[in-house]
Amino acid sequence: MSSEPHNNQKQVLFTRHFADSERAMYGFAYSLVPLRADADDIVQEALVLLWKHFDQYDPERPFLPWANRFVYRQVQTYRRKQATRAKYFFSDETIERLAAEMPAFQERDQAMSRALELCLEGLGGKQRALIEQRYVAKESLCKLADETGRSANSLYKTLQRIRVGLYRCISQRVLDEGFTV
Amino acid sequence: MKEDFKRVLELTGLLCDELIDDEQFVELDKLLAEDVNARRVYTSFLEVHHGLAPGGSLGQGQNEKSEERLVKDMPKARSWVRFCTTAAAALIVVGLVFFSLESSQAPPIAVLTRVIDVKWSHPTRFRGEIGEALERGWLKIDAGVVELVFSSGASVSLEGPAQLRIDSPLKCFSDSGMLVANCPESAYGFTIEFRGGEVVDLGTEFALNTRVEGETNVHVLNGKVNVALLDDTREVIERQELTENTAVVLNSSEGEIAPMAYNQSMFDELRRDSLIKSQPVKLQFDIGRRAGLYHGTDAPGHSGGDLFAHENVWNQIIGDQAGSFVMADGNLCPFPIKVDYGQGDGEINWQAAPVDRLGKVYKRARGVANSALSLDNLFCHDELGMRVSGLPKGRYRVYVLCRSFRRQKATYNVSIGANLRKAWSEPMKVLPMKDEGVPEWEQGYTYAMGEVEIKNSKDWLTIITESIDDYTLKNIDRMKKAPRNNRSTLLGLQIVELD
Repeated sequence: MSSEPHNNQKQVLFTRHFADSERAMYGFAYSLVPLRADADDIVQEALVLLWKHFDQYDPERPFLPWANRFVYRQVQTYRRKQATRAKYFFSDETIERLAAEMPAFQERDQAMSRALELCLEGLGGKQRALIEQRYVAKESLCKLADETGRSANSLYKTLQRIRVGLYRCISQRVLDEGFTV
Repeated sequence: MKEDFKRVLELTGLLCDELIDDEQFVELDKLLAEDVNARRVYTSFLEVHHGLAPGGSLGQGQNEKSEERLVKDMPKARSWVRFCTTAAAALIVVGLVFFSLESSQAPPIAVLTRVIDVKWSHPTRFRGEIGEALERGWLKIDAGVVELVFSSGASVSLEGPAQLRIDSPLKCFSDSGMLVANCPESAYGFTIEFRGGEVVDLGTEFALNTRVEGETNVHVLNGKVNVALLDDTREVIERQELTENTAVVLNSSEGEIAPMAYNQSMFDELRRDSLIKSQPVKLQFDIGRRAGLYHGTDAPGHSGGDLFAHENVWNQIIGDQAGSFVMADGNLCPFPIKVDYGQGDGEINWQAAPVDRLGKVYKRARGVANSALSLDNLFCHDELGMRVSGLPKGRYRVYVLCRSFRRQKATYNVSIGANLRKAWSEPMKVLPMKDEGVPEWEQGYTYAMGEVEIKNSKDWLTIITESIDDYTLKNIDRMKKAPRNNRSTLLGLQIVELD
């Protein structure tokens, strides 16, 4: 019984850290493992490990780099397990470099995420509708193509143009804030 | 280069929609492996892609509290759901207290690590003290040298007059002035921008001289860098890789990168090795394994204001030692140091042989007695000593971390001086410090502080304290009687050169 308050405190602390770092952890996993479902699994597994080892976490140090080490470790484990099945895997070199640079990019990414909201407001009605169909309704490109009677390739091009437009818009905004894109 | 980024965007888009074929994927992988800027573009584009998904900037997900999503996102780990539900509930109970607190647990972007004869251009913006956290913003000096270490590990030393803008752990902007950047592996890709260009580290030490009139010289002291000439919209006009011992001049108005004579000596004084030598010596010795209690800012030298929070490196001493040591800030001490243990009754015998550590006494040594120094001197008759030589001429403040054996209620005595052969006739009396936070066995620890004049590097900075003696040794087996008073051992030393 006596350990319960301690345990609760630990849970609260852990949840708070996770809430602060969640987006960045998923972002980290997504950049290393292209398929979102795979990346989600990896973060899930990393979380279980994180909680298990939370006693070893030094609260004097930032949580995110510590947590991302577990994500990275899970990526490696996942790679080994899925080597024969998975469709896409980056080379060790790419993964290592992306992982090493991630801490530096993450601050910029937070700024980008803020900028995205502003840039979305600048989209025309049709563009926004397409983005919402693709992302909010989570419709695959092929299904969307069927529905709209367009080819998947032409739809992809339209979608990509919108995304690159958004990318340029947020890049300009974060550049104004002093980040390199 | 620009074409490559267009290609990176195209391939990343195909990847996001799972339309990428094997050949294209290999191409993307190669582009990402080769170029830090390609990786920047890739991660930025992914930020758009994932930001558009529910939970990002689009759709209702953005209003969903992170902690609620934590619960919802956990269907796969069964026990997890329960934990998270409890944790989320606890959060609600704790209320907004946590979330209204400053949520940033991240380290500052950079820390000020050296300040030499500096005249600040803006004395009110920050205190300008060593150890001070630096966030995004300008650092302007009219004269002198400052060194800052970024959280990425990169260090930049800057000589005034100079103006530098700190942007992120991997980026800064030099408006004017001379600087040397040192980038360990962790800071690969560290970028210094300037008007009309940028220099990107590729594992290196490089120097920059930015002139107000828009001309910047880049000298590569070690490794290699990538320099780029940029137009007004920061698009790359020309990019070049520079190797060790080469230099170029970038002129934004003329729009060219031109080779120039490499001049290492111009930057010598700004290089880390020179800066280390010009700074006061600060050395810390961990003599007993329990000295860990003192580490960090709890150590008396830190509380006394002679050491800063980032100066937290201790040399572990496991017997007589000589050679290279590490200074408190983690830099290698530029001169060799000797550490010598001794023991004696009256005069200290510095050649006394250590005890047989496999013997009976060693096995029974516990607590603070279980350290190399204490073990070496278990057979001493009265005093134990430790001395350090190799320190350059100067005046030093010494913090001696010592601990009494067992539940020591009385005072005990320490002598601190140069070339001492025996304890002072009236040693410093040190009162034990009561600390409820530590077990009884460990209570009674405290420290003594003294100042020592070192005339040359052969002088010994010496500390002598009364130790466990024959009387205690006779009782050590049974431990029935408490040891006599005034018995202590040394657990740590902090030595700081005074100006």
